[in-house]
Amino acid sequence: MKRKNIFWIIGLTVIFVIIIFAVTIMVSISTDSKLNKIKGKTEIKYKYHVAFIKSSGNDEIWDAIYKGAKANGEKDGIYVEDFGGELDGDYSRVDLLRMAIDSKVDGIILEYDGSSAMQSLISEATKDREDDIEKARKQNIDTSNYLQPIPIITIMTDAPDSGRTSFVGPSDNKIGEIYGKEVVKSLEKKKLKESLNVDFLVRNIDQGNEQTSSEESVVGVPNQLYYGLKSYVNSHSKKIVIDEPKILPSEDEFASVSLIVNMIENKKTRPDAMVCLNTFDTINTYLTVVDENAVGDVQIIGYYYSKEILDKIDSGVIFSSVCIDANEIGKTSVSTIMEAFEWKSVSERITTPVYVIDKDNVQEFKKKLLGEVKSDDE
Amino acid sequence: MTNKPLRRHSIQLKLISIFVIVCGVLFAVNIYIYADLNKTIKKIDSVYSNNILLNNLSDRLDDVQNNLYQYLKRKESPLMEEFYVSQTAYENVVAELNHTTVGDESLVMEKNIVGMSDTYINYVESALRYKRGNNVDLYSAEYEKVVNMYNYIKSNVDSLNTVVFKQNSGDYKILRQSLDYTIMLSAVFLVLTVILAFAWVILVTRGITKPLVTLSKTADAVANGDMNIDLPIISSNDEVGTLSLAFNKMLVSIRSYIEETKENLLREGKMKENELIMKNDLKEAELKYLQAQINPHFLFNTLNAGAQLSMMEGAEKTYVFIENMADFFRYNVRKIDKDTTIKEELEITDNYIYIMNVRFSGQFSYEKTIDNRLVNFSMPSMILQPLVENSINHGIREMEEGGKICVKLYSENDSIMLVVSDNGKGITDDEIEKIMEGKEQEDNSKNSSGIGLQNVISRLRGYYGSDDVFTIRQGSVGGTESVIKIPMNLEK
Repeated sequence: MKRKNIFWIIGLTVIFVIIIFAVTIMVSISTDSKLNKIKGKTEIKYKYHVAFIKSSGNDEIWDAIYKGAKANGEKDGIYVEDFGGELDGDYSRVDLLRMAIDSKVDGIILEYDGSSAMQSLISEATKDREDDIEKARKQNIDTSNYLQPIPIITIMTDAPDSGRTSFVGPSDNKIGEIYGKEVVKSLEKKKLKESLNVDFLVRNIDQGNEQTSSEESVVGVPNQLYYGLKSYVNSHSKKIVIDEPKILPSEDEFASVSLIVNMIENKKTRPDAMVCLNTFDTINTYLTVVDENAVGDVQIIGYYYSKEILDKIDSGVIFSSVCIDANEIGKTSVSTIMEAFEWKSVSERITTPVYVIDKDNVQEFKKKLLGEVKSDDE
Repeated sequence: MTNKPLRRHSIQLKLISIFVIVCGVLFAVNIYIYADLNKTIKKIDSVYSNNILLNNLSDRLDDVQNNLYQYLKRKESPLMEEFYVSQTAYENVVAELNHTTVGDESLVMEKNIVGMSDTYINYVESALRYKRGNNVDLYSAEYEKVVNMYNYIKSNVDSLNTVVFKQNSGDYKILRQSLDYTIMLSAVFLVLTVILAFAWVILVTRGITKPLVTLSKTADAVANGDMNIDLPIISSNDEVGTLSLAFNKMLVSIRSYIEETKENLLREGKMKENELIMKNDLKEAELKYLQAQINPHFLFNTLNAGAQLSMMEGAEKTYVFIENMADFFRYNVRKIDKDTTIKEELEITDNYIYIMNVRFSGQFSYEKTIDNRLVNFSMPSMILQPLVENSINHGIREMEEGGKICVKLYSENDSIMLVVSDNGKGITDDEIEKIMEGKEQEDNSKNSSGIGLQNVISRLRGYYGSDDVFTIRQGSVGGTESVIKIPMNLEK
């Protein structure tokens, strides 16, 4: 056989073998990389495990807060879990808090629901048991089931008497004041009218739970907010009358929509302005206003933002929207809990900023929202 | 067959190496494919392992809760034992779950379940303690916690199971795809390997069979008699190479043998031709003698009678003459194919000269110069007399007187020289050429013995196997000189 042929065959064989290995390794790597997309995160180890319990309703805000918290936690080695996010069945915040405590997480972030059950649970979790443990030891009682104190940060709604580690959120009084400012501004053009009515829409979110009889809130609405609004309006205009809060049923969406329609359909009794405390009501209100041909007649002061709300602010259907800085709340809550882990003592109360979106700055927010949508897609 | 060690490049070794390499490559490819498939299948097998674990966990939790309930209800110690067994089993399964905080939702849920399970066991133990202490209020409160915790854990395990199942289904799909790819690739690899191996086998075996084909073609041509075919050039270093080398050598040898045989045949043919000519000459001479035999026999007998008569009458000269004649004829009667000696040839020549001198009344003289050491050498008979007769007939017969015949016998360079010369009219070059080439036609009937010069030359050449045994030339002092050159070493 010619030498040339031998080299040809050997060359071909070598190439063939290389191709076999390359292709199988490529298939293997591609499969592994696809699997790692799902399981790759297991490589990252965290120092602390924090349970973040979302409140129901206002999903955009809670998603944004959680996102801010999670992102900030990643930086500090804290795994912020959307606690109960994957749980089947409807569990209340109290149930979830109970589970989180029993799961022995390192810290908990949640909104106080106003119930005494939650308050006592927070007290139980955050209580320093050293004295109890000492006592039990003296009486030869097993202390292994005595839970270690767990730092709890309340956000948005505070439970100052519960013994929570800290509160992070906007000042209700400040929000009320800003709402008041916007109400006054929106009604400036209607000065000719003798009196101006403002409806205040409130949603009773945790209807099932026992409510506190404290003076702090009026059925789900922090009194601070309502009084902040009222005092600002009263001090700036004699004509404007703030009606008693209109409570919308939280579980029956159709009923709440028909309530809003009832308020607006009668031209004589319709309010001159409506204050909404969540995005869902904001949207329902503007839809009703458009339907009833009451644009300009009824000024809407909305809450927070979505693409729809921003569009309507831009077109003038919604006068303005009061926003909390959700991302900032998330971020701050995590950095506060980190301080609690590392330094034990933290500030009692951290106030986050509140701002207004109106026709003047709506474009800026649209751009920002667009950026967020893009980054979410990525 | 000899027990030689396997040659480095023997055909057997080549074939074995092809077989081993092809088998080896196929085996290796198969093993590789098998390992690859096995790896993927193992991965697939392990996909749902954590679902199985979670199901197991859920079952063990149920066992713990049931056994606890049974024991609390009936407070029998065997039930207590059963409860502890199930608790240990549950704790063992829990131990398999993730205990650390990692960046994966489902693993963190596992960690939560671990924490809750720990708390659950604590509650269970407290409940048991209060039950034993008959502290009904505390027991009820604690048992409620146990039930709550049991429900929480169940719910968490079920939810996690769903989450994990979703993830695993995704993984399973990917792995299934990968398995499909691997199977497809394996089939392609196998087919490619077989094709490559086949091509390789063809190439290698062609390397073995090609020289064989060339060799067989050449052998076929040789078998058909084509000895001049080009030698096959085969450079392979196996048995075929050796065979072709041997074949080439054989072919070269055959060619040279054929050449040699051809030469031998030619030589033999020539020799046979010579022999035939000689035999022909002898036959011719014999015929002549037979024709002349009646005469000599009758003459010989009658001449003897004449000699005795002349003796009685006292005529001495006549007696000598008749005696010489009788001797001459006696010599002639002898068989011509028998060898004779130079001495006898000289004696018969003497007789002939005597008779001729009597007949022509002493017209010519005869002179002999003889080296007596050479007279006993043998030679064919009836050679010298015809030469002398030729000299007389063609040289000096027509001379009035003074004709002279000389016979010389001497040795020269290992040859015996027998020279017959005359002082006659001589010979022309044309005649010499004609005589030497055998073109001369002669009438032998006039010769005393019936033997002509051509017959003498022919017999001499045939006898000694050489052309230069006889020469005829001009004499140094005129006349003609016939020279017989007998090789001395031939025989004595």
